[in-house]
Amino acid sequence: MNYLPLENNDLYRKFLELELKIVNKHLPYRRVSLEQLSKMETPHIILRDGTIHLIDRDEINFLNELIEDPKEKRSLLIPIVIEVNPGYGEGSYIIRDSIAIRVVAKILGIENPSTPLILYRPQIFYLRRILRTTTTFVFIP
Amino acid sequence: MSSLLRVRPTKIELIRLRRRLQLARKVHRILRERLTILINEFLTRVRDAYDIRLEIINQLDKIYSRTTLLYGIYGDGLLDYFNATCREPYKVLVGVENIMGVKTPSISPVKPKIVENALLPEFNELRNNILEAINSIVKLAQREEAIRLLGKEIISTKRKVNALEYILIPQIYNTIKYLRMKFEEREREEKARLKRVKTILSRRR
Repeated sequence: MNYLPLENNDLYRKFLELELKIVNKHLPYRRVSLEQLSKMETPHIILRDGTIHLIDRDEINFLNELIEDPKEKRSLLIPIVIEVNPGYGEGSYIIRDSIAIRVVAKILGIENPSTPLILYRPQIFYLRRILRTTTTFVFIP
Repeated sequence: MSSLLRVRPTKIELIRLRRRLQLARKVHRILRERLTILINEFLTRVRDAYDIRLEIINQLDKIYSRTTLLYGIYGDGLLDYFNATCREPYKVLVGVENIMGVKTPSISPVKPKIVENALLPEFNELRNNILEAINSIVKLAQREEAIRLLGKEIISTKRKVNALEYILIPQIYNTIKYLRMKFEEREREEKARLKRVKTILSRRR
């Protein structure tokens, strides 16, 4: 029988815990409203790992065209968070923000969207092609 | 390929291993999902890059034919016309686009200041075509760099997923199984010993 050295056991545990910690490092410190982003000269958000994530101006313009109500523009927080929760089953993604749900439903052509909105892989892939920099994934372990 | 972890055969170790197995399965699920998303992002960018490359080929084709035509009509002074009407050099804004922890460059072109209507209409059109082509080339560069970095990340994530799936989880699982068998064996030994003691005691009485 092959035995691994004893100290490796602790190493494995540390590796696993570290993986869970770093998997959500790309999330922003603070989300910014669409209105604020539109006013910025270089639209950007600061992420937890310290990087400055640039937002595509075309995407902001697209969202501004999509949302007509100025109140909603103030309340829609960017990036739109897409939750990856294995508890809901593999390949399903969740959006909880009510305004984001309306926006995403408009893009995907979903009538009467539920809250929370559950999306599946093809829909997410389509959404990510359109909103490349204004959406982000969060992993719920 | 699976072996056993070197642990002491105690109940505490069994509990620890069970917890670690749970954690490993959780991490495995999340990493697998991350890998799927990364592969999708990679494929999306590959498709984008392909489309942009086709677009560039068309644009360059248009530019070359138009330049040849104008060069034939106006001669060597063509490039001087362009230099005279562009006040600033072409600039791009370089930042970071974070795709699930992969830091890829984000390059957005800044529109140069141009003296409008300083040239003949056919020159203006050519200049706009050239600017469009440069923008497309910048976009292509961004996509191709993202593809390279995403590819690297996919390889490392895949290695982690495979390590968990084929080495770590089976190792922990087998060790748990081994410890359970060991405890059961101990229990059986204990029972046999107690029976033996009982018979000895009854014989003495």
